[in-house]
Amino acid sequence: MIAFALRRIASMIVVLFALSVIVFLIFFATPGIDPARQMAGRNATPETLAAIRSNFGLDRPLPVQYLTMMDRIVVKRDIESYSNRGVQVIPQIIAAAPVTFSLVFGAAVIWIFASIGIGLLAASLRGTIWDPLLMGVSLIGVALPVFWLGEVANLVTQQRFHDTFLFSWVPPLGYVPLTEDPIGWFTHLVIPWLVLSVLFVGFYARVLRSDIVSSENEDYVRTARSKGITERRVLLRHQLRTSMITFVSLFGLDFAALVAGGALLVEVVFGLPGVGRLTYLSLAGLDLPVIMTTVLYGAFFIVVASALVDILYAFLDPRTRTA
Amino acid sequence: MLSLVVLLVIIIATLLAPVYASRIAKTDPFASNLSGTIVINGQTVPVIQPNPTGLGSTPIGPTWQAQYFLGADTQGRDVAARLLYGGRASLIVGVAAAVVACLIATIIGLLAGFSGGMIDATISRLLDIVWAFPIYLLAIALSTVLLVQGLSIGPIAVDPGSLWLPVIIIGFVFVPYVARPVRGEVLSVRRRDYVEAAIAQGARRRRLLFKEILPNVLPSVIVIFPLMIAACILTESALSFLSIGVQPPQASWGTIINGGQAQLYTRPMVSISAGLMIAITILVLNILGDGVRDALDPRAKLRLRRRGRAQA
Amino acid sequence: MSSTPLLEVVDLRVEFETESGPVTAVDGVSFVVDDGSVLGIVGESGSGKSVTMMSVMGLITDPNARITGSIQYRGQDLLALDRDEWRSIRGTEIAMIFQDPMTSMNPVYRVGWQIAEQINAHTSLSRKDVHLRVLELMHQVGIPDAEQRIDDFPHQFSGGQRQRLMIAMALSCRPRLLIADEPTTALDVTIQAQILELIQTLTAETESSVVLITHDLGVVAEMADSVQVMYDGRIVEAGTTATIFNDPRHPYTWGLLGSMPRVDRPRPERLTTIPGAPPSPHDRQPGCVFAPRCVHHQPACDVSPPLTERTGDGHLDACILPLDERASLRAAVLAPTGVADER
Repeated sequence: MIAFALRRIASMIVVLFALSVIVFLIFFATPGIDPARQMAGRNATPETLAAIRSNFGLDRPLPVQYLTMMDRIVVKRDIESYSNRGVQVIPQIIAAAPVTFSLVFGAAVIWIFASIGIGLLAASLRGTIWDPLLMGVSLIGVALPVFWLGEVANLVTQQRFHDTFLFSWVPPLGYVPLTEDPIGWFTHLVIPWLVLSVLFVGFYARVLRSDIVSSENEDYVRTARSKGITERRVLLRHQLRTSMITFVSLFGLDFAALVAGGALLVEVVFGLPGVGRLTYLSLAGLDLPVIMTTVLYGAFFIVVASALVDILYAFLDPRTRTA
Repeated sequence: MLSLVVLLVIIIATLLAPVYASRIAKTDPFASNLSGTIVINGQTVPVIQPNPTGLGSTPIGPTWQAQYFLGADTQGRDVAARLLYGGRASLIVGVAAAVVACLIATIIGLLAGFSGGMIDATISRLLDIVWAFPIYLLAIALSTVLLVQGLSIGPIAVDPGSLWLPVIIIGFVFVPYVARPVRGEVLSVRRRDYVEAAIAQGARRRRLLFKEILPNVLPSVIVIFPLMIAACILTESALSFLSIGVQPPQASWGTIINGGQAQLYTRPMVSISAGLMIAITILVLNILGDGVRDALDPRAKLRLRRRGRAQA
Repeated sequence: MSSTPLLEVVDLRVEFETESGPVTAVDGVSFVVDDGSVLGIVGESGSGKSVTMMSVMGLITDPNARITGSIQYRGQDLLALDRDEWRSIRGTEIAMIFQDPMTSMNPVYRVGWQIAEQINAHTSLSRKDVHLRVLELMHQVGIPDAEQRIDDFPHQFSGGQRQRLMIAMALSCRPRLLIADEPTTALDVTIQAQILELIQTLTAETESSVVLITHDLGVVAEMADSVQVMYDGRIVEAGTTATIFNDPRHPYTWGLLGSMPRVDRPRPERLTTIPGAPPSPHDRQPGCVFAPRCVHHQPACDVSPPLTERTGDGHLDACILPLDERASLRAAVLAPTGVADER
């Protein structure tokens, strides 16, 4: 087990290195691109361009450029925005991270419970009209563009029905830290949580249902039935338990991808000052240092999270543990 | 079956966009028409109505008649006409990006699965890494780099405003989602008895690749294709919504929703109609994709697992 | 002999509704299992032998399946029971072991837990007693170091050991009837005999009856008191093991016996084969199910011959050939019995 974890961590470090190289190549070595002009943002002065060139060693060979970039982003952590002069990027990201985490965490709680509930319900109601109905609704959930769903939610809760008893409690768009006002934190985030979780509820419910239904043909499920344990126990302890293996490994990666920046659309629509919105705001000015740093940190977060998922996965599926 | 009909209706409608714009709506969907007027119930009404307070103005809402059927946007342009043109761009980008992704992925997957050894290890690792990236992060990184100066590799130059840019970006982002299953399929086909028999008979590599392996891998690519189109359209709309996808003056469903944000509370029909079009298109593509899968490859369920994240 | 047998199946019929029409997997099967006896059910794959016994266990959960007839367990019709009543019989009164021990256990639970789960479902023993019972069972089925291995996962055991664990599980509540569905097919030849012997000794101790499903006539000859031969969802011949092996009456049984190499008979030039392939259950013809492949096929076979007892010794067969002609016809397929090997 420990050997497995160590091996996984070693491979994680290799991937981290490769990722940083890819990010570097995208921003510094895309053919036909002048990285200085990119980084300076729109309407840059020649002085800024020259400063950037020397700051990032752009006249030196690529490996040196790579090291300079990594030094400024990871070691010195003093990379700063050019279009938004002098603002340091890393503190901004650190300030935005709790917002993103709050958003994704709440949505994840909803999507875990709702999708397990719907998936189990549909699987156990197989043969009735409810199964295709639940799966059809889930498929619609998967098809809705999340940013659009967010806008419609805003339209309904902020304006059209805001003055009715249904949504009068919904505060204006924005964010309140949990530590300042737990109730405000909750009310500000409920609608974003629901919107963000819709896609995942639909998708996970479908995956879970199909896993449970196909486990119906597994020999060990037949064995479980032959033991004379209750149907409920067969479903929960045997079929659901083994189907959770896929569920958990998917969940880890999706959760990580959302924290790393995938929740950007929801943050933008609901005006939540998270990491994704930070990226979005810098898009308008093509503020490359910010984008580059958020992309790199997001990618790092995902790689670390997926290593953790693999180690957790080994706990869930004993076959991989000793293999 | 119903989904196929719906999809065909959408495609034909968007193909007829120019006819609608010139014959029925009689407006140019790409030129602003701030001082335009239309006739409703015999009365001439301006397309952009000044607000009673004197501050700002409001575009006309849905008229439910031939001109300005769904109302106007802030530029006074016919929303219905833009919706059809936008659908054209969305579908073209979605399909082209899916073709790009599947084509590159098939080649890479075949190469990796067929060569094995170091080549396979390197390619698989690279695919894993790109795959680990959140779709939007990678697309944003590529878009920001390419949108300023365009893409030029040797003789190929792509203008920053071209539809090709989102096609290339989205297509590239989705390569691992197709290449990984293709590679897996190549490996499993290679282990099948008849292929091992062909190898034992000393079949030439090229013959093996094109006669034995490719025909067996193609069905899984075909199965993924409609789902890829759906994922690409969704990604395009999101990037366009963030204004780093399809660039003005071109319109896509994503840019229409983006433009509609400003008038969401006064004229919500702009955003709602475009979003509904996306949702319906994605829904029918997903249903269709499931149908194709059931018809071609009933055991493919496992391989499409990652679809969720692709659309997140 | 007591008036009610342990298990009596009467005119059991199992149909599956499929996209290409209904498929009859079991077509009017009747048989009896007495207390303490071993019944062998023989047939090729797809002959309905597993489906028959799965229906007895109530393990056919496919919503498209339709089961008719009656399954009397000690005078109680199982098909009339509700889910919970049937469940309380399954695992305690009737238990089952399956073909592939590699996939029959849930990979994510420890083996001790899996055996204990069955005991817990049917008894109210304390945790400690259940633990002791599991250890006892593991000892009985011959797992060395049971104390250490009770918390291992299935993948840490060999195939033979896993089948032993499955047997431990099946016998954990001392069932009256054990159904063994091809229990040795997936195992190495060297392990097969050990597993069969284990089943034999353990069920003898508890005086349980056994229904042994197999396509291996050697296994049947060794274990079973009586045999029934199934073909395409029907029983074509049934009787005591001795009569079936010494005086097989149905041409299909001849084919089965002829295709099996034996050491107690003269070695034939080559083993006989049965011409043709097993029928597809989709296009079932009226008449004898074996007729399309039978070399003695005649027009009268197109009317289904019933399974009848012709000699008054409990030996049933479903063939219209005159009894006195069969010996000579059989000789063409099988070498006569009792002749010593002339090597």
